[in-house]
Amino acid sequence: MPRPRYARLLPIALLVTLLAACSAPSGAPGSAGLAASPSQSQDPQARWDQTLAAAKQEGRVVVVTHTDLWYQKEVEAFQAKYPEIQVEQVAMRPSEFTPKVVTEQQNGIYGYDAWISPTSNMVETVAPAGGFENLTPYLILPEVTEGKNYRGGKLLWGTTDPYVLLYQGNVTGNVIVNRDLLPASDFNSFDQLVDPRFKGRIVIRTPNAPQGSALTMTGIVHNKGADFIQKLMVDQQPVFVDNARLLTQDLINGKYAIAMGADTETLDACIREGGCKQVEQVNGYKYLLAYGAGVLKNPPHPNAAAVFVNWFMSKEGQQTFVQTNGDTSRPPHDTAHSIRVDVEPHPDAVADATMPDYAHLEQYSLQGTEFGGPEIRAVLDMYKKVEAGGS
Amino acid sequence: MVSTAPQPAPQFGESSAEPVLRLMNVSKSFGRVRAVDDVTLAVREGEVLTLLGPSGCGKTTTLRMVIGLERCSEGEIVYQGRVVDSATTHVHVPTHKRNMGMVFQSYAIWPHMTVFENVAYPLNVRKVKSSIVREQVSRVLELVGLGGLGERPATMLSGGQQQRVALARSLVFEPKILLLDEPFSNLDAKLREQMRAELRILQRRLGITVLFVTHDQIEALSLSDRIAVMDHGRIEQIGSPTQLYLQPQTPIVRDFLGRTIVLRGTVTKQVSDGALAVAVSTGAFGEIMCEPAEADELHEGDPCFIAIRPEQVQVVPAEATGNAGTSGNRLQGVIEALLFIGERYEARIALPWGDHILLYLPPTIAWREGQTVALFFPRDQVRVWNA
Amino acid sequence: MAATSVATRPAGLPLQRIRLDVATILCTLLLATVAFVVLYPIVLLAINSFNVAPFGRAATWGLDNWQTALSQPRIVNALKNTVSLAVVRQAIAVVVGIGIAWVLARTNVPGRGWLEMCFWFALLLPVLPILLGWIILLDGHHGLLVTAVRQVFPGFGFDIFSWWGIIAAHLMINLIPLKVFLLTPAFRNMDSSLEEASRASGASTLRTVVRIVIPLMAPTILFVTLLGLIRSMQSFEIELILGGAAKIDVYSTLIYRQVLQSPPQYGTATALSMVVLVGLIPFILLQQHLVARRNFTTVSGKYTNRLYDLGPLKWPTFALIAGLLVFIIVVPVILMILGTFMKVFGVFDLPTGIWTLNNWQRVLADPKLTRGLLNTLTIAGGSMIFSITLFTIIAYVSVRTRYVGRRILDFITWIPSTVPGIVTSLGLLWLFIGTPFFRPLYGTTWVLIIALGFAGLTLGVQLIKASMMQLGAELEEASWASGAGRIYTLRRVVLPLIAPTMAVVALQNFGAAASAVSLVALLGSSNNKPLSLMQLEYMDTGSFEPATVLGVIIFMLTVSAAILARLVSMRWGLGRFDRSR
Repeated sequence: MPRPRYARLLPIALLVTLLAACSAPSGAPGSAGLAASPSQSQDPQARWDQTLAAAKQEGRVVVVTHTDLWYQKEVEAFQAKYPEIQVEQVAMRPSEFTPKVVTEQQNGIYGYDAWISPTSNMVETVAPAGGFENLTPYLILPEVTEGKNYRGGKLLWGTTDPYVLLYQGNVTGNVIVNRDLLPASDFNSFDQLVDPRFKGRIVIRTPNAPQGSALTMTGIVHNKGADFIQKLMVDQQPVFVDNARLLTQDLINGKYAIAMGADTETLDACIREGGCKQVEQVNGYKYLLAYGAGVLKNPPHPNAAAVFVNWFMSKEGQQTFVQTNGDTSRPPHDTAHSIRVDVEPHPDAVADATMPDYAHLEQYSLQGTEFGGPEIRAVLDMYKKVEAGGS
Repeated sequence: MVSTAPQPAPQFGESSAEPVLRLMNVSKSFGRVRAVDDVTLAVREGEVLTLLGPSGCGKTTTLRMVIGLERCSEGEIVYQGRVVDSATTHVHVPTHKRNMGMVFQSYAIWPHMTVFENVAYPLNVRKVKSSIVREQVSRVLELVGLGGLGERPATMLSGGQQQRVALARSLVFEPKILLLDEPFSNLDAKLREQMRAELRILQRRLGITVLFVTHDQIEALSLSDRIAVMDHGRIEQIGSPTQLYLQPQTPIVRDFLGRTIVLRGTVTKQVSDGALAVAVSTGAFGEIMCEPAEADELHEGDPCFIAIRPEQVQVVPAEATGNAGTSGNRLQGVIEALLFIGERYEARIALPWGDHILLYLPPTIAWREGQTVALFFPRDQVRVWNA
Repeated sequence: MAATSVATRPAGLPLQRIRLDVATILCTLLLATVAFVVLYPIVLLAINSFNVAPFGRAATWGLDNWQTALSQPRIVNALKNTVSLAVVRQAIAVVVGIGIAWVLARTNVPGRGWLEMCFWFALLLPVLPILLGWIILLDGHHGLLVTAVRQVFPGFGFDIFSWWGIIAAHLMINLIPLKVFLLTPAFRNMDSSLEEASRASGASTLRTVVRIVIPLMAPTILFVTLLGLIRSMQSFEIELILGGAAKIDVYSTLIYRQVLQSPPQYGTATALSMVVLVGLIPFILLQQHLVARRNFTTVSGKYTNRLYDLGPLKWPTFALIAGLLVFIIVVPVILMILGTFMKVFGVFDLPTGIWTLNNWQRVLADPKLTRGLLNTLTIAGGSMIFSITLFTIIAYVSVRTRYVGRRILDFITWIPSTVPGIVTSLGLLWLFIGTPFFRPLYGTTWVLIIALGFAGLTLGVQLIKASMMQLGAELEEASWASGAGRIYTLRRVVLPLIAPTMAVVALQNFGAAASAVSLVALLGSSNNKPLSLMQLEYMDTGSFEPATVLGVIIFMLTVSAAILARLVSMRWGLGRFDRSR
């Protein structure tokens, strides 16, 4: 074989290499630090002015959010208020952003400033891995730092250390029942879930799937203990279904009588159109799902990050949040409420009691905070045992 | 019937012009197998040189080294005065820069192209202007008898036509040398004969130098100016067809070219002029005087073979020779089976000691089975070989 | 392993044995790069499977992950199910696939070009909405079709949530179209005289197919079957949905659940994957061994192509294949498109009417749509071009050169398909962040193009390789002899002859890249977000119907690509002379 002939492949190899080499490198770590640390200047307004000026100097802020549409509106509102600071929004599921950001940080890449989202992954994985800045020096505006502006009278943290500041706790916990199969006289309370009559008639969204039924179960664990869910998951022989949509269809079509972890968006849409009259929500033991904000380790634009977080936690930011949350989703707007005292919740949220009693949080299983960890782990471990038990 | 005038074996440098192609001590090994072993030959301008031999003898490998599809393990190939492959200096001109035409055994017609595109390909490679391409392609298509078929998909041609396309493609860029690798082996007998004649005419007309590889001796004998018989990677003998046919220097050449009658015998005496007398078989059936092929090695009493081409044996009915039966280079035999095959008879003749030989008999005499015949072995046509 | 390579080195001159030339260096560079990209993530994952610390925390080494993985009581059952499901559905699919591919490529069945295209389209359908569509029809409890049949035959019972349901869903959604897709180009590149010789010697058509065609197509068939079996170890979408409710566990769902839980158990998932990887290696070696021993040239230099005349069977054959296509593509597409106009997919009684244009309006009004569309085109188009170039080079080196490491190169191309993508994506992230060569690319679209390109490595390389093995060496040699160099020859002779296969590979990569989700989410950035991620975002917020609208848009995009690929490959390669197309 005359070898030099395929030496002609060289240009292709070179081309590939060149193309690869020409691409722009990604954001390098470069934390210049906050323009005004609390020790230097005690006057919040002076600090704020200094920080804002520095932020404008930085000219840019990278904000990570969940994929829900209201986050985009929120970011746009910030952009409108501070046109000098270019906002880049990274919309990712926390479950996908978490391995990404942890791996990046371990390799010395620090490309993000602030992160607002449901807090489970923040609290369970990123914070313990040292992924957050201490938020306290970043909180400058008095309306943000003063406890009296918060329901419950103080800033609510998802972590023992000040990493993740909560802006909302959403309280839910329900199962959906097909009333054609089970009239209210037969089933109307969570306590009946372990009634042997309903053996094999319960369908449960796989607890360890993202947005699975594990959260609902933590509410039960919090109030009834782990034995109850063991009975539910083992003795009642429920069917575990992975796909929420499918589970919801099965419930509507009467394949199963009781569903945990149904796709409420679908049900709401159906009900709004006057259908799905046979399904009804039965409320039970509540859990709280936390939403919060944090500044990621070594932010490339620390001052802009501070400006963003202060704005987001301010009355204006939270009002925008409640507004956009309502605007971008279909009714009921039961998640449109804020932890701030001065921000009015949406009437739907009040009606559905999805706003927690912030003064008495001990009644809920606090998911998305360090304090709710043991309960969700109990649920997941239980499910693991069920899963391992064979079929 | 065949000219017996022997041509002197050519040597390098002897011919007036430098040969077009020279292989010097070329060898090729595949792992431990030595496919080509120390081959030296020269192809002269305008001649047809054939590499002839059984399959696996290394002739195709030699051809592939010439065009550069394989590299020499040892030795050197010189084409038009330029070293194109050398194992010692690591020179290797790749195939596409050698400018040699080649027709592959399977024609290697590109099935996704039309006849025109196939033939125009070498010109396109050479960036010839399209008007000239058109002209040259149509001319060469005329030449091979495919005029007007240019727009046909190449896959819609018969075997003979595909072969012509392959030939046209190898000629279109007017290479100095044309390499043919068993070009006729995929054709039926009749077409093969026709193509053979056409190729010969074409070669004469173009005066192109041809290096031709075949295992078919008829092809080799009829097409070649010279033949190199190969076996086990080595060249056994190079010479003109008649030379090889009539004066084979090795048993392999002898057996490979045409049919040969070989009889076992013993040397009885050496005659002064160098000829040997050989007693065939046990000696009771006659003595044949013959020319030794390897004179030095044969002495009285040595076992040996005598060999002769069947067509050189003169056969007459026994009654016509009277009692002279077994004297004067004569043997006797009986026609066992007689087959009339048109222009002649094919006869199986039983020899007295039980051997059988196959001979051709002229149709002019009324032969019959069971007839006793006298077989005359002309002294200058019989070779004696060491057993 | 590389014993054959001795042939490239002239014997007898020991000095030459260590001589290197440019080509060998380039090939080694290629081998090294491919090996690095493929193996780095897997090796790193394997090492990390011994790290028992929670994700992101300082490493603690131990065997816990492996213990958890291997002590799962369900593992044996899951393996049994996986193997039985895989073998049965592969067996059916291969037989049906060979039959259809032969008919489409070797006979004069009417409309064969279009029939083949329909199989291509079927392969580009998004799995989830199609599966949900089938469930609406075939749910044993309330499926429309099942209930309808039950009214005529009261005892009728079929439930898609069953062992046979999984098989049927796989065959329809995935396997039969894939087999036809992969096999037809190979069957087309067959010299018809090989078939005719068999028929002339008295063999029936069936016998000819079984004794001549199939053995000649062995590399492709073997590869397609092996790939199918390997993919069966990984496919989880259908099993997750159908098997979950039917309580049928398979191995892949065990792995999937390890990763997709919070927090993800990458260690256990890797441990489970390694078991499969090791288990599959013998099969890969066996396949290599079987293919290496024989010559599979079907396109030689005296190629003829005549189609087999089906005679009166022409139209019945057409009807049979068209009938199958109704179930494979027509019904699913209708259901999917209807679904995008429904207020709630699957709910057929609403007082306000069940139809709406809102889903389409909502998606088309989305300001991110144009940007997403462009990103999808960039990413999918880029990875298509990247992959087809890379795969062709790799296939060429492993088939058409005598490079020493070509068997190893070939072996490595099998590796990515043995480990589920969901597991390797984290490893790829490490690759792009943790190595100095790729680090500069991180955050750019190149990362996605490379990662998605490599995702189809096995299929692409092996398919192109199989089709290169069909080409007689003399076709290339004749080109060299005509004065053309390697590149010119590649362009004018080799590539056109394998164009149908390249079209198939390119399209497969385009389709896969256009619908890729988890890898894109992990490696992408906010400014290269494609349609598939928008679809995911809709899905996340429970907006299933608009998500399906995006599914339809992606489908239409890939269908256009398919038609384009088809036209190009037909104009270029052997198909240009088949006037019936």
